[in-house]
Amino acid sequence: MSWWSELGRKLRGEPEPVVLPELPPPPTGEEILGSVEAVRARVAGRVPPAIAARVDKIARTVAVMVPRLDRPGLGSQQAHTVVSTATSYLPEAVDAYLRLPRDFADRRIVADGKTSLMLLVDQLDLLSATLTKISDAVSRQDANALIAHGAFLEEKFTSSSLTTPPTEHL
Amino acid sequence: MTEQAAAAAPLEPPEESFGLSLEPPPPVAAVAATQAPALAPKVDPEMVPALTQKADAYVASLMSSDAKSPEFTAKADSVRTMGDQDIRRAADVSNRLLATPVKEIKEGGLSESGTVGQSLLALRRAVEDLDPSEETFGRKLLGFIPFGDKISDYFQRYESAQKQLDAIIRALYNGQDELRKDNAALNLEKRNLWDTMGRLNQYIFMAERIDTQLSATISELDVTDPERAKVMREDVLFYVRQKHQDLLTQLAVSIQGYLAMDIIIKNNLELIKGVDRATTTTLSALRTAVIVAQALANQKLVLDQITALNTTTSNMIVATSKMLADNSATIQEQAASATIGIEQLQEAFANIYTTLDTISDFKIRALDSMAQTVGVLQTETTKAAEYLERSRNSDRSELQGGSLDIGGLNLNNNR
Repeated sequence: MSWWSELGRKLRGEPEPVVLPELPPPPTGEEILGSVEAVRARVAGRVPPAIAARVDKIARTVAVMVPRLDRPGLGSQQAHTVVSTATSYLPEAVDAYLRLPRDFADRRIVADGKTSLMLLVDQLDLLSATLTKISDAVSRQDANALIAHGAFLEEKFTSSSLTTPPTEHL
Repeated sequence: MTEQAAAAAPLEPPEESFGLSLEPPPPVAAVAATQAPALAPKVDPEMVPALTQKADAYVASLMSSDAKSPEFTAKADSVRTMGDQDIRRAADVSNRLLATPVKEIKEGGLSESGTVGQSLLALRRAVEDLDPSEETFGRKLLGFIPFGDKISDYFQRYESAQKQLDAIIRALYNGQDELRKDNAALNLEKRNLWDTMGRLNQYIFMAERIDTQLSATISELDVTDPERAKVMREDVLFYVRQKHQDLLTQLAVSIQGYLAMDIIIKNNLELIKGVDRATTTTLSALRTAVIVAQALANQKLVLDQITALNTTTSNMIVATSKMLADNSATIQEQAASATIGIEQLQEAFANIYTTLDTISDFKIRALDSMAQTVGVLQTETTKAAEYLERSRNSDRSELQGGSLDIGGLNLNNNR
């Protein structure tokens, strides 16, 4: 803001303009994939196969979803869920588990009769199921576009059932 | 669903503003120590016989030992250290708790500097820039559709704002996530505190039982052995009562903390609701703008990032608009006189403002209520600190409670 407009503002008795917060830019596709890959690298060789397999599955779903993230639109909850799963939900779940000593994590019951390992499996399953649901929904939306387009074509090019066929004049 | 989507009317009306009301929970009042046991988790009836027996056995063993023997002193000490570990655990929780609402006020969802506060601020700014009722888009203009260029210019602004709006909405979703994480952590803390309060209440039960038994015995001794009665009164009963008071005080503070946690959880839930409404009203306004732009200026707004969220609807709009464009001018006139116009857009913006104002108002009231809660909690915790000091000073409790420790008895002790 120039000093001139600043002076004008003061003369008009307007309040000090609020400094707008800098909001972080959206994570790029590469960042999203990179975050999941980092989790994969962190668990490699350090977790039971059950966990590694689940992380892999989530990573694959994310990889399939990332190029399609523009479909639900970035302002959508679904897109937010996919991005946050990759950048926050998955890494936080896995890291919380990795912080525990292996013996404790895999043997000691910590809540609801479950060990930390079992809790992590539950959390990964939930994330995986949610991602699959979103992926399906996006595909369904794409299919809808196709259906809508078909309806449009039909409406445009199908003639009325009441149209009588042109009589041929001999 | 797909059938319906294909058959549905292409334009969807702006969402109605169902009065959003966000109600901050009232502040927590001070809990009197005397009413604490009634509020805390009840002593499990199954445990009553065991606790009673332990208390009675203690009194009996006191009676059987010589008042001058080291055995008697050790037994008397048991009262002093009774439940110290749980008192300390409860105190730790209340101290942590005291930090939570303070942090909540400073940087949590209610503050201006938190993620939610900052994003809402940015949202208000962005919405003000686009506001269709501002002078730049005055009423006069609306009557003159031929000045379509100005309308086009207006709608162009949406396209340049979409990145920013998208970032704001993303930040709001992240803020909601933070609030939900806070609540999950608080709920866990609440469950732990509940268990600790249950144990405190068990000790209170025992202290009361010992008090009754001991008082009865002492009044008998007053007649038969006044010397022993005096020792019992001064070396044991006094400490039993003091411990009873300590336990009650700590229990009251814990209840206070428990209620304060509830307040934060409820505030967070209200805020999550408010943010939800802020995003839906904003997105709804943007969708309306897309439709109005099409209807008024035959302008297809490219708000891919935002409007795609209701893909079915926007696809239909696009499909319809293509049909309109392909067809004759008469259909364009129909579009211009469509039911959705600038009034609906203004209404959609009014909905955003109402939501943002409701949230601001909520935050002010919630902060006020929270400040009062913190005040009460602070006073009570300070009061309890004195008792706590006593339990820290009793040396033995560091390693083990005395013979009155209920650790082995506790049937619910699963932590």
